[in-house]
Formats: sequence, structure tokens, C-alpha cells
Amino acid sequence: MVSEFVFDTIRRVGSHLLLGILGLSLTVVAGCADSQRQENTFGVPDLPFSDSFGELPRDGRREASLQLTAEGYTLLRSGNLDESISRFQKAISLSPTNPFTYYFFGEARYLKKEYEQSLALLERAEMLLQDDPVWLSRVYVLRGRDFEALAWEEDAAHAYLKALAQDPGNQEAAGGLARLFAAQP
Amino acid sequence: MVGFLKRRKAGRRGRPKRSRAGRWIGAGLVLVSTLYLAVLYVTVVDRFEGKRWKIPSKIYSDSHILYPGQGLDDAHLLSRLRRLGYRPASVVPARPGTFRRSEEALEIFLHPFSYPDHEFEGFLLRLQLKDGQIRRMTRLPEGREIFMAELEPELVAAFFDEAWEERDLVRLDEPPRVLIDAILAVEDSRFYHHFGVDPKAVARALWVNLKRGAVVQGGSTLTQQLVKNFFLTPEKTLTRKFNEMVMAVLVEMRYSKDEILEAYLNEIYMGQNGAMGVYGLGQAARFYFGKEAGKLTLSESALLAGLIKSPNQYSPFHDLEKARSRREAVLNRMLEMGYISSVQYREARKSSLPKTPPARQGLAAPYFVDFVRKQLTEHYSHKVLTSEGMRIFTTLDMQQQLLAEESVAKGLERLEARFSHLRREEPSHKLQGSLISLEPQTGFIKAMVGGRDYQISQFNRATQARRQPGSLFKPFIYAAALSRPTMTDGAFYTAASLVRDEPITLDSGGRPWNPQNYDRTFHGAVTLRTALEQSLNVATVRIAQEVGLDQVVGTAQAMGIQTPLKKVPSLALGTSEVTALEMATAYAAIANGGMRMEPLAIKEVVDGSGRILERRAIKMTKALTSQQAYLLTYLLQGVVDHGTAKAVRRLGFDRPMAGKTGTTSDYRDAWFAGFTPELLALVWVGFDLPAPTASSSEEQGSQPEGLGLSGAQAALPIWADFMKQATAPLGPGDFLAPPQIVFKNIDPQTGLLAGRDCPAAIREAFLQGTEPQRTCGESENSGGGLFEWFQNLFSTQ
Repeated sequence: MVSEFVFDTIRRVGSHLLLGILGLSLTVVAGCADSQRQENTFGVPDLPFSDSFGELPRDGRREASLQLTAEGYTLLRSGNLDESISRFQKAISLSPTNPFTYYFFGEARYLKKEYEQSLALLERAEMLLQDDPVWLSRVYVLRGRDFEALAWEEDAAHAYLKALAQDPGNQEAAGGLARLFAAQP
Repeated sequence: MVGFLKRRKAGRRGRPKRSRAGRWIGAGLVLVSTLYLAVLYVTVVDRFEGKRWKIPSKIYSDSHILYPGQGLDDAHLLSRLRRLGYRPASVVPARPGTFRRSEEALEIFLHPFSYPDHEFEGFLLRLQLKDGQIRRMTRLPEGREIFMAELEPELVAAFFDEAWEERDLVRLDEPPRVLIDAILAVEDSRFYHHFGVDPKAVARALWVNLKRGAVVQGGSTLTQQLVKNFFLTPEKTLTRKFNEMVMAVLVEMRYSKDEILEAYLNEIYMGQNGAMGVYGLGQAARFYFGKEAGKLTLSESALLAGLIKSPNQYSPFHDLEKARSRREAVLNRMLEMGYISSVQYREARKSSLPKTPPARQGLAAPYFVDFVRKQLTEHYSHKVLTSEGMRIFTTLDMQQQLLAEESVAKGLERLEARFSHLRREEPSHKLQGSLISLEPQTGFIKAMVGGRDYQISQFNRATQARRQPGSLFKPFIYAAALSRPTMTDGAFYTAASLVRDEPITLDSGGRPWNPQNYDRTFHGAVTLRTALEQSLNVATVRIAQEVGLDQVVGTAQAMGIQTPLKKVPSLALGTSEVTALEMATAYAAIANGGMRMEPLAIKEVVDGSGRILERRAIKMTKALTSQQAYLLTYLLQGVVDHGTAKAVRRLGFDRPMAGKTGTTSDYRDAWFAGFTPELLALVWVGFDLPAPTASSSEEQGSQPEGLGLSGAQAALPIWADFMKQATAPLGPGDFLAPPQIVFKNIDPQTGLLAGRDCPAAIREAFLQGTEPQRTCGESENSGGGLFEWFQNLFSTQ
């Protein structure tokens, strides 16, 4: 795997310089790469909610869960974190295999600075999104953000690299790595 | 002349003694009267301008979500609607709080509701039904298809003080004018003209009462009635009457007519709802008509106004004819006074009266309410809870709660009917049970039964009782093992690993301990799966010793056991006491892919003005890897499909599920914990106390001291009865395998890959890389494959 090779290389050389060069290179590459969707802060497209999730098997329960997740998403985007959490909880209650609920719930917890809770939610999202590299990449980016906030830089770098491995066009991941490099003494 | 002079002299120097004394007495009387009036005045102002009423805080259940594809049990849904105060209609529901059931559809005009973070307006919802399912949901009148709707939370309980008064405060401008007119017409038609006391009304009442020779008419104004309810004791004495009149005048001097009227509308006693008093027109409108006071019609207003005189006598729930006559009297009076027209009068007379009260406010979910109350009192005082009108939104599902209560009650009765040794005369000694149901993915407590009868014992056996879990503890051993290499060959423990179910002697507190299996036999080398499915004690003890008790305790604690555990060899057999809630939390972690969820009962606390004081969000902690959790679930599915819990299939529960029976070695405690992907329930059965000692030699030995039954016999049937109904609305669902789980066919005897020599294979789950490499029948040194074939070609067997 590319990411494992790169990370092993980083470890062997033990060089922050290499990390920085790598981060810059990836930023350039990511800028040129054809990213599949328009990105906002967490790579969530500002599209009508259910269009993004057409891959999921649909049944009434899942549909109701998606509707609640959509409400939560709208509240999340308008800054109503607590209200969004309330919707996400109901959505999980209805359908515990809806990966997007866990992802956005993770984002809400991140924004509330509840980083460890965010990480736990993202672990569920990761498990459920194994077949979707673009969304998996977003999960890893958010995980990287959580680790950064917890000052676990090595874990954050690892998460961003995993994100890029899933979706090389993920500018947020590249930006995360660059940020880590820039923060090095 | 001298006498005159003497008198004049006396007048100049001072008064005559009698006159001086008179002045002092007069002054004293004035002082006392002033003080008396001042005290009454301060009392009046204090009550009016302080908090006028104690509004009890209320506990609500969770809302109930409806969606297409949901299984619909008619009886359950109609029961839920009734509890929410919905009334059946014979035509398309046109008002909030009504519903109509036809063969293929259910139309519900949803109530408006103030959720913690949004206001819900209420609309007409149509559910198209077929084959016991909701097929389609439509919002009317637009006809728009929708995919989700919510039935509002149910009121579960309220925190009353000793007075048990239930109120819904209304402002003066909220009820319709006809309600005010109706009340004034019959209770105080000169309200706006008197000064608190109406001499004309007093005189009229006196005259009527003298004529009749009995007290048949009162002359009290609304203000006097208010004063009497606010301040005074109910005894009928002249002193109290005098005080009432004085205070009524003081109230009128200090406050406007509108303020007085508004206070009256919220204070007046309007009947009983079980043990709870109904006070104020706001609550009366809900109680009698299931609606807000603002939506009352003329006919309904007249009925309520008529009730004031004697709520219990004129209640339509007690005497329909008296209620109808009283309403007519009110309407007549309104017509006389010109408040309504004759057309309005005729129409209002024709309206029907409510016949049945809403579901009685009794003790619903009492153990759960106690559990919630305990949590609340950590942050809010009793005074605040009983007077500030907070609303507490919980995770409780009332339908599941009622199912749980019924399952426990009926299950215990069935056991007593079948096993005579379980019968006890003394109510406090009877067989007991508890049930908790949790959502594994959120930790929401959906139902809680803490005992057989709350009235007899408020001790919550679900959260307070510490009992030995017995075999219910075993999955923690296996969870700890599944993450570790074995001591024998360093390979990781898997479901196919062989463990020895052979005699073992261990040191326990300086004494030898020889664990035994339930069947008193040893089974030799068995797979881990067999050991768990058949709940083999000895094999489990060996695994615990190999893994290490520290590791076992660490795993149990990570999964949710908070009670300190004794690190003794018998820990593996569940001898260390725990609570049912802890065990449910731990099993829920297995069901939830290794994530432990903190059990949650309270979601939001909202103050009397609608401000959210608290929000409690779900809390996750990783207890096991998702792979460990899945492997354990897969093992526990085997317990159900062919192990100690297989009776659950005979009892009619056919969904994918996993579970474990639990029986203590002395048969005092019987447990069953089982879960589907969406719901977990845990049941305990046992006695609080050992059976009374036999008093005669004939009785000795005829009655076991404990339960004498296994988890499969005692707890499992209650679980099955509850879960069959609780999961009925859910669609099919199965446990999802996480990444890095592989499935192989293996031989159940040897734990090796199934091959030609051992075709009786079972499908087993493994963490990738830990699956067996050898095939059953293959020697250790054989090359396998082609070589084996060649070898078998020349085999003499």
C-alpha cells in the first residue's frame, strides 16, 4: 500500500524535512488531481442530502433515519450543534448501520470539542464505509482533525495519509499534512 | 355648682378614668385592626406577586417514530393514541387529538407539541395499512407523501408535592370569550361591578336560604372563591368567612379585575384524575376534552363552567345526565344574560358530552421514574422539582415498558403455577423478577422493571440489587480470551481452539477448589465454542486461569462492570455480585460492535419557560475491537441455536439473535441476556430472601431454599415473551461482520478445517490470519493436498 510505504519511509529516515517535502508535494498533486466533488471544510458536499447517499439499501426504517440525518445535517451546517446531535441520535436509534449519521455526528462532536467521542463515532463510520473510498477518505480527514486537536500529531499524520490513500484528490487531507509540517519546530 | 366644678376640674386635668380607658381600648383596637389588615395585605401581596402556584415537573417518554414498512400492531398503536389523549372520530379527523381507523387506513390529527428544541404544529397524517404494516404515509390535506412522522412523547409521571395538584397555566387571553362568559354567568355575574364582596348576592343568597331552610345558594364572588382557595382552610366558620371577605376586598384594592380573573382561572378545582387533583381551566380542558383551553367550544365551555360548583357531582364521567342538565343550566343563564344567541344555545345543547376520561394518571413505569428522580435530585432540589414546572424528556418507550411489566408479571405467575415450591404467601417474600431493555447503539433505556409490584416494594432489582450473575459472566472470559494468544502454542484463541474440560484443582483463599459442571461430568477436549454454548464450567475456569484474572477483570470493567470484582478463581463462574443494569450495559457493548454506551435515561431537561437546562448526549467508549465483538456475538448466536438457550426458538422467537443463559451454582439466581442488532433485554428471576426455614422435619427438604431453576427455565421465557412483541414492529435485521472477519468450515470436534475425513462441518468466524491452517484428518507433518491424496491412495484403512 502506498500509504504504508510512505509512512515506513518517514519512520526509517526519521526526518521532519522529508515529511515537509512530502506534504508540499501532495498539496501540489492534490491541487491538480480531479477531485470527485466540491469540498467544504470536511469534504461534505452541499447537495440535497439524500442524493449523496443513493448507494445505501433503502427501506422505510433507513429512509426515516436518512431523513433525520438530513435534518441533523441542516442544523449542523447552520451551527445548531445540540439540535443536530438530537437528530443524529434519533437516526442511529432507527438505523444503526447508517454510516453517514455516524460521520456527521462525529463532525458535530468535533465542533463541540468532544474529540474522543468524535473518534468513537468515526470508528463506526469507518467500519460501515469500507466500500466507499471517497467517504472513507472524509472519515480519515475528520479523524486527523480530531487527533490534531488532541495534539496527537503522529496519529493525525497517519490519518491524513490514509485519507489520501483512499482519495488522492482529497485536498483537506493534503492540507492537514502541510499544516502538521508547518507546525514542526 | 360644686359638683359641676368638680366635673369641670376633672375634665381639665384628665378625663374620667372610664373615658381614658375607653380611649386606650379604642386605640388598641385600631392598632390591632391595622396590624391585622397589614398581615392580611402582606399575605395577599406575597402570594400574588411571588410564585402563585406550584407547577409539578413532568417526566415524558421518548417520542414514537412512524415510518413506512413499520410493523403495526393495531392494539398497541391504539393504546398509545389513547394514552396520548387522542379520541376516536367517526369522520375524517378535523381537530388535533382525533383519529379514525378504517380497514385500510389510520388517520391521525397529530397534537401540537412543544419539543425541547422546536415547536410542532400538528397536522393530519394518513397511514395506509396492509398486512399489518404501514405501507405509505401521507400528509393531508396536501396529499404529500412523507417518510417519517412522530407521535409526541407521553406523560409518564409528575413530581407532585403532598398536594398532588396538576395544572396547565393559561393567560386570560387564551381561552375563548365564551368560557369567561359562562363562568361569570353562573358564578359571579356582577364580577365587574363589585369590590370583592357583593352585598346584593349575599342578601339574595340569605333570602333564598332562609326561604328553603337550608344553605342552597352561596353569595361568594369569584374573588372570595379565589381567596378561599389560595389562603384559607376549608372549615366553615364565621371567622374564616370574615377573613375571606376582608381579604377579597384587599385583593380588589390591590389588583385589577383581569388579574384576579386570570388567577381564578388557574386556581379553581375542577375534579380528580385518579390520585391527582385537576386544577385550573387549562388542565380541565385537557382532562375533559383532550385539548388546550384556547380551543374550547361553547358547549365545552358551558360544561366546564358548570363543573365549578361541584366537579365530582357534575362530571360527565360520573353522571352523564347530571352533567347534561348542569350544562343546560349554564347555557340558559348565558342566553338570559345575552352572552349567546338562541341559535348558539340550540347548537350547543345538541353537542355530545365526553364519556370516558383519558388514561388514569397512576404509577406508570415506577421503577424507571425512581431511577430518573434519583439522577435529577443530584442537580435539582425537591422544591424545584415539585414547583418549577420543568419538563424532563427521557428515553423510555411506554409501549415497551407496558410489555415488559406484563411479561414479568405473567412470567412469574406462570412459574408459580407450574412449580409449587416457588409459591409464597407473604407478598414481600414472593418470587421476584426484573427486566431492562436497552438500545445497544445508543444506550437508551427503553424499559425498566425493577420488581414484581412497586406498591409492595420500591427496591429496584434492576439497578440496586447486587446478585451473582453465574454463567452470565462467562462471555467476559471469552471476550478476554479472543484477543490473546493461548498458552499452549501461542496461537490466538479462536472459537475453534481446543480447551480441556478436565478436572482441575485451584487454590481459593487457601483452600482447594474443584469446579464442577452442571451435569457433573467432564467432556475432555472441546472447542471454545462448545464450552460456551454448553456453558461448561471447568473449561471456562481453565480459560480464565490461562488468560489471567487481571485480564478478565479488565475486560469486564471495560465492557461496563463497575462493581468491584473479586479476583478469585470462581470469578469465572460469576460469583462476584453485580447489578442487572451493569450486565445489560456490558452485553450491549457486544451487540454494538465493541462500543460500550453509557446507559441513558434522561435526554433533555427543560425549565418552566421552555429553556433547555440540560442535554445528555450518548457516550461511547471502545471496550472491544469490532472483530472481538463480532466473534463473541457469533459464539453467542450458537448458544441460542444449539446451546443452553435453544428453547427460545421453541418459544417462538425466530429473529437473528445472540444470548446467554445464567444460573448460579446454588440456583438462587436465573438470568437471561439476549439481543438482536436493534434491541437488548436482560431478565433476572429469583427471591429477595432465602425461603423461610422449614419448621418441621416433614417440611425440611420439600422446598429448595432458592429458585431451583436455571436461566433457561425461569428467565428465558419472560425474555422471549417480551422480545417477541417489542421487536415485532422492526423489519428483518442481522449482525454485520466487520472487516477482517473470514468464515471457514471447520470440524466441530477438532476445531480444524473440515475435510474429507470429518465432513460434519460448521461455519465458523475468525479474525483474518487466525483461522486454522490444518485440515481435520491431516497429520501435522503431512504436506497436505496432493501428498495427502497420494497417501490416502495407499492407506490400509
